[in-house]
Amino acid sequence: MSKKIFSIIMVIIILSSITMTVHAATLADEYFGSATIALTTTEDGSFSAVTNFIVGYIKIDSCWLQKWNGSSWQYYCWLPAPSDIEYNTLCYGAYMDYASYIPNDDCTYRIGAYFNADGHTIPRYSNSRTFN
Amino acid sequence: MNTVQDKLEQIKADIASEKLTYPQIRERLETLIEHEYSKEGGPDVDLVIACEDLLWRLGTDNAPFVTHEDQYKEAMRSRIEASQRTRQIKKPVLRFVAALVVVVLLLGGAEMFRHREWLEQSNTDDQQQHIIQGYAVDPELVGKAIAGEKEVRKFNTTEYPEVRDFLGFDLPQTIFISNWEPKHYSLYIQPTHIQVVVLYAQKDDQQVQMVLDLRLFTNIENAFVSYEQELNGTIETVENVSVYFSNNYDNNAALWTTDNGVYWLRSNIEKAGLKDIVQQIIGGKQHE
Repeated sequence: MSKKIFSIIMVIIILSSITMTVHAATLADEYFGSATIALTTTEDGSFSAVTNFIVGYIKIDSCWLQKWNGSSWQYYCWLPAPSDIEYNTLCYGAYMDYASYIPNDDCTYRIGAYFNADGHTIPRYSNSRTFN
Repeated sequence: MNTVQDKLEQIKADIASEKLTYPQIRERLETLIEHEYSKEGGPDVDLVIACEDLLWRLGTDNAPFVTHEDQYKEAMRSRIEASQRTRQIKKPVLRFVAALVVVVLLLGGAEMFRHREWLEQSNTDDQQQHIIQGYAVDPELVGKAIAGEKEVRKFNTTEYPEVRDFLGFDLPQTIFISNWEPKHYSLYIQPTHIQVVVLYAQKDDQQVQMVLDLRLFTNIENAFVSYEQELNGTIETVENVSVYFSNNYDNNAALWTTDNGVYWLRSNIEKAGLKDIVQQIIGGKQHE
């Protein structure tokens, strides 16, 4: 009986441990220490990234604009991604003018982008802003 | 020649005759710069540049001074004509601060001094990133175009003097940390901020590395940066500054802000060791 209880307790501990590990893994990023898009007051996108170690390259794979519909973010349009690629580096920086893509209609927008370091890609979003 | 310029000439003469020590010379030049910025009609830019040039040469063994005189003059004059306001520097002006003001003006960030602005830290809803965001309360700032070209200037080097030449000013000397050797510098000047990333290696063991990501925002309202993290971030006080400690995989990280700057330091050393380094940087204990 005590063996059974011990086994059950061990199973619970192991499962908890696995759950916590997976949870932590989804909350941090192995490659990136920082991957930021800032949507500026002038409707520009400022891209920057710092990796946890020197990587072969860092680039932005794709970019898009999202619009807040009052309850969730909706895809609005594709944006041209920065053509900059940094090689053998820890960091990345790019700046794009998106004024012609973002309507000045009192609605709230944010930029999404896929950061790519040596093929490891993560989606990240900018701060949101309302333009009029 | 006016009285202030006479003072500058007197300082030059004192330097030549070796009457003044370096700290005394620096103090006098900084006082002169401070005086210029506190004048109602705006500073005499030629005089400020001359003082900065002298400060630079005194501190750098006559290394070539990288000046932005023309752009500086243009930015200063348009600023003065536009608003007829003055710039107050409350504390004695350090070389770094004075030079930073030049860069801030060059990049069109002069507006930041007029308004109430601040940096705030928070986590994203899913806790995946720790965010620094700038806020401003003056509605004039909203939607106002930032002067300057919409591009990024980049520079990578292993030599600190080249960093100084590229930026046009010295980095805070406290980032040169005991027992850590700066191996590589990456610099980015964006219309919204200046980013300096320094890769260090421990002197005793070059395999142990550390990264400093320093961002100086030229327009606080456009300040936005996020850092990856796990869930266990804590805020601790170091030298009277609130420092956010977190970790991301094998790395411990420390994050803190100044008026317009964000410091992010990360390494795979123990948190206690990282905290000691943060203390050195914030507390001003310079590398010997």
